[in-house]
Amino acid sequence: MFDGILLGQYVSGNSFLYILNPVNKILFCFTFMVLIVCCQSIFWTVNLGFIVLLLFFSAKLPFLAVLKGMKTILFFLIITFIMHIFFTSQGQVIFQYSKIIITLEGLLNALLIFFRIFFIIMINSILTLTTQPTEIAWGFQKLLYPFKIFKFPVDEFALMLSLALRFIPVLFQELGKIIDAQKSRGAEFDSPSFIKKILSFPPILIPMFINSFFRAEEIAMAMEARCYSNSQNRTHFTKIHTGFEDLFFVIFYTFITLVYLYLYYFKSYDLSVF
Amino acid sequence: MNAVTFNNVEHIYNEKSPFEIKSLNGVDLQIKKGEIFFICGNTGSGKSTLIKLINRLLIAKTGSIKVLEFDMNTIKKPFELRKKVGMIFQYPDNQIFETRVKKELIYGPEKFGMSKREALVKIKESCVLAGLDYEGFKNRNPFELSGGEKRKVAICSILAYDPEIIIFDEPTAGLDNSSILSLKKMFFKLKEKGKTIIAVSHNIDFISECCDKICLLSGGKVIFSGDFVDTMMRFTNKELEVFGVEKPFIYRLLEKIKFKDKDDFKEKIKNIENLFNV
Repeated sequence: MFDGILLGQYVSGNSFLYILNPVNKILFCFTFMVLIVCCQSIFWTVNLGFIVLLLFFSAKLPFLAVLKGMKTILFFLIITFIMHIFFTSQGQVIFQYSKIIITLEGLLNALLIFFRIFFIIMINSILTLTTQPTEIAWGFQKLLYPFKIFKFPVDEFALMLSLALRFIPVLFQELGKIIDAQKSRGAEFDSPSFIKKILSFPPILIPMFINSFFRAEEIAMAMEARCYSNSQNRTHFTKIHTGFEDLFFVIFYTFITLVYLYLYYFKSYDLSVF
Repeated sequence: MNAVTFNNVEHIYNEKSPFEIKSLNGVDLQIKKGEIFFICGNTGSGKSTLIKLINRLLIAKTGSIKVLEFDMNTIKKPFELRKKVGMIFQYPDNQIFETRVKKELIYGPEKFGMSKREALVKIKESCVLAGLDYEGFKNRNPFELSGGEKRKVAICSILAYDPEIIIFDEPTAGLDNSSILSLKKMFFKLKEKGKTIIAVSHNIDFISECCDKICLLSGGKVIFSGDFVDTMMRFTNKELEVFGVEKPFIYRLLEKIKFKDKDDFKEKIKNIENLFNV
């Protein structure tokens, strides 16, 4: 059921994105996501997205497999698209039938939201496809380190994050097994009846939650048995280095951010329609 | 008559993605009705894929699969097929969701259209077969049972809708000796009833005492399929290790003894069995 879904998964490779420092990649993702969310014009959103896609292809990441994984959220994308088209009544009317009005603004808004979500997923895919979950957790730990001054439990937060990320594929596998077990006992998950669909959820969700709780308890006990503690400064088996590639990458996305901010805010290149 | 027929079956996981794995490659297999058929092989050899294909939890990429009267290439809805092919998974925790054992047992039969009264009769029969005290367990919470008890509940929940083919994935995993013994007895009772049993296992003692035929899988291919004695005659202990099984002691002993033919081999086994009162 979850064959080939790559969202949130690491794929081994050897392109330049793989050797970058995770902190650097997290900062890039954060910067580009903020830019895309703040951008109110389709033209600039697509421009930023184009740069993301360039990075995606230059790192030889599996674009089609990521698109295949997006099928699961396509439903929500379509719903938001339709809602924006039909519930925006202001602006130039381009289609009218009885009480149904489609305006140019509504259409552009729908497109803008669609592109925003699409490119945000692509940005996150760059991070997750090229960085192992433990490296992502390490990156967050380093980024949050200054908050230790305010007694923020950085190490505990990093541990929680790395455990959560580590178990995403495991939980997906478990979900597949549960669905198989219930299907073989006559459960129908692809029934056209809405009520049957709703009733088919408990046999999946209950074992899923109970197995997750048991697994969490087992992990806690395994860690306790090995005297895990965050009270001392922990060292890492593998050291992650920062190289020249990181410097070039920082210059690359800082330059793009500055150019974007200059053109979009100071020069007001807000092409009102696009 | 064949219960299951595989013809040149190929299966690929995660096709056209970086995680693509060819799990089965040109598998040909015949399982006769009423047989106890064991599938052996190391991790990743394709055992689980093969049994999932029988229940149409997976769909083959190429080749043809026939299970009872159902042709997998033309079947539209596998509901009727699953009614006749029961599958008991390795981990019963993946199927248990009700708050009472009774409710858990009735879920499958009700889904397959049995009336409550009919289902209860069948559940009681299946509990006797699997050695589960129905009256003592019916109101207990299945999540509070031990591993072996959960497995018995899982077995009963499948036997309750009376499938013609029963598939077991690692039936002896996590069971103590007495539970394995009652499982063995259950296998023979099911065989007497004319059921076809297909099982994946690494427990060679269990296999040697129950099985009619064995199939050895490696790298997604069927390397050998035949009766147990034939298999033990054909392969040395070292060769069998590739399939994740070890020859029983008696066969290892016989490896050291020269014999003329198959009948001579069988006779010598009988003599040794008599000697040790096996």
